[in-house]
Amino acid sequence: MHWLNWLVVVGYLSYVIIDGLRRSKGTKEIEGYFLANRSLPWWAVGLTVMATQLSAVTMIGTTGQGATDGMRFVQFYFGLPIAMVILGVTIVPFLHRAKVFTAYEFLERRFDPKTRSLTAFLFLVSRGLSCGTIIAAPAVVFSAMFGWSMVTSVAIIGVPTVIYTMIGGVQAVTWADVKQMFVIVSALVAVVIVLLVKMPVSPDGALRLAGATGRLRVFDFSTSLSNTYTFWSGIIGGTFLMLSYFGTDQSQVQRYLSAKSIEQARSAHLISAFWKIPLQALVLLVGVLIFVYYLFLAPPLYFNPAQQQLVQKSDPAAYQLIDARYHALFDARQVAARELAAAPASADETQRATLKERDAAVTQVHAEALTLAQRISGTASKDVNYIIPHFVLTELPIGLTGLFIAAVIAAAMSAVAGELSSLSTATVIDFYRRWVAPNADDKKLLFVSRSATGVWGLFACIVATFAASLGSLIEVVNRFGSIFYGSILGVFILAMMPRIRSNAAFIGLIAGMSAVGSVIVWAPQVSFLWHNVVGAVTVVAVGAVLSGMMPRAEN
Amino acid sequence: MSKPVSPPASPPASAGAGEAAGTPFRRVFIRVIAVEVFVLLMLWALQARYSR
Repeated sequence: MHWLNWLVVVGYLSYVIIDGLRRSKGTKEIEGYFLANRSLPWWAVGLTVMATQLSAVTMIGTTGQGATDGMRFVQFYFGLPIAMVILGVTIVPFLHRAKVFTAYEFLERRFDPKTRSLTAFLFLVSRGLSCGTIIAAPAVVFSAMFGWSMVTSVAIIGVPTVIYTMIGGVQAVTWADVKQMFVIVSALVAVVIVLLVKMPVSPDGALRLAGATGRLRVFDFSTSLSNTYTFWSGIIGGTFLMLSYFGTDQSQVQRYLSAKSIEQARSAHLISAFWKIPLQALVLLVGVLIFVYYLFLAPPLYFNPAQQQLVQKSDPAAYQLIDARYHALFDARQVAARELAAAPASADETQRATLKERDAAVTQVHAEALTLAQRISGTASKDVNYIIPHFVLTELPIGLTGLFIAAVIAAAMSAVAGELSSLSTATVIDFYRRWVAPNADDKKLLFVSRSATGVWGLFACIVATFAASLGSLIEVVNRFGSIFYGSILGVFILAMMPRIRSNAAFIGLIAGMSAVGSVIVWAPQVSFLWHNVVGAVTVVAVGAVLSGMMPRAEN
Repeated sequence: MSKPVSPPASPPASAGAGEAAGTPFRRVFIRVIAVEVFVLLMLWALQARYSR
């Protein structure tokens, strides 16, 4: 990569760290460190909410998904605006007014310590490990693209993030997120502009090619529960998932607790309500346009250069055979694409069918190539994650490549910083101050908080470094996470209902997690978006029924 | 022993559940849904035009 690109990356990283250290002013007290003294404006909170949710996986994985699978993933977010409005009138005012540090602290006030501790513990386990995977995803890609070791890649993302989060607390995290969002959106828009300028066909022609290959099919109205992304799973399951994530996950709750007022916290949520779907559509559209771009320019058999070298070296005969087939089919597809682009839109059915057929043939050979790579390396190929890095490194002009790499690092940093800050808050408030040192002063708590941030950062970096070998463990944890997400939402719904007993809520929580666990074991075909609905509904039903059956003396 | 059953923080009338950023909740809700419907219609138009 050109040194000017590196200058952009290094300059950006240095700026984020220096600014983070500058923001550490006003964090002498625990409320300043964790909640910025509840003083942040709505627009900064709104941007940090979006930045925390937007990780490097969005930048590299989702764009890759757009290139291979099209726009239909956007259905996943259809429930988000609905969830944001519901949260604005339910959990947001409840938690903000309760003056709590963590969402789980509220559960003890409403129910009992065991419900608080269980939910906080589940959060720490799942978020601690997911934090590692958030660093690992871009680190693996950087490692393959630049030939760095995993330790170097993880350190480039992890170390600056841990430093500014540890020293500056939520103030540094928030103001860094505002800048990160600006960099991320700028990089995406820049890529779209470059694509449109370099594309050998008009924007309308590009969309016709994408449409002919099914990449612009957004809506799927099927009612199958096993189909992950449908209109209904997005609207219903997505609403429950977003309610749970934005309403009860400390990494998000902490963001709006730092807002100046309830009204400002609500307004912050509306930023996501208005902008999340268009932003995700933009991310997917970048992927779709890259697919169209590579209809005219032969892409490598593998976008992952490390994988390409491995296969070439291990089985050169098989590689040459499949590469030759791939490029012959690519040439045929390119001819079909040019014919469709030249045909009048009113009479192009034949050309559309030909392109679709030839694209399917290319996809089939590419799948065979991935199977070959999997057989040689012994691990599942994730070539989709290397599509945009390959494009950025080979096609973007000098300076913009650096901006995009900085944006990927920014996305990873903003997501990790938000999670580290919330992990530290839950550790200190829900465990250290609750069970170990209830009378500790702010100075002591601040020291423990900074230490906790550092320890969680170190833990996340270690998990990220060994992510490849921990693959199956991380998958188990992710599945574990989907067991309790909807259930925790159910507990918060119970907390806002009158006449709900503490023990009933706790039993409901266990019942909800058991119900989702049963669905995962006995009906594994059911998409994970529906798990949240099952969990939340079971908890509320069991909690409400048991509360009605319990004698009044129980309270 | 369990704690009292009623929620400790019920919304006071001045900043009630019906308001967001000083705007009546119903209006905010309608606005958000209207924007979402508009965005979905745009996506639908994109699909209808190019994915015959």
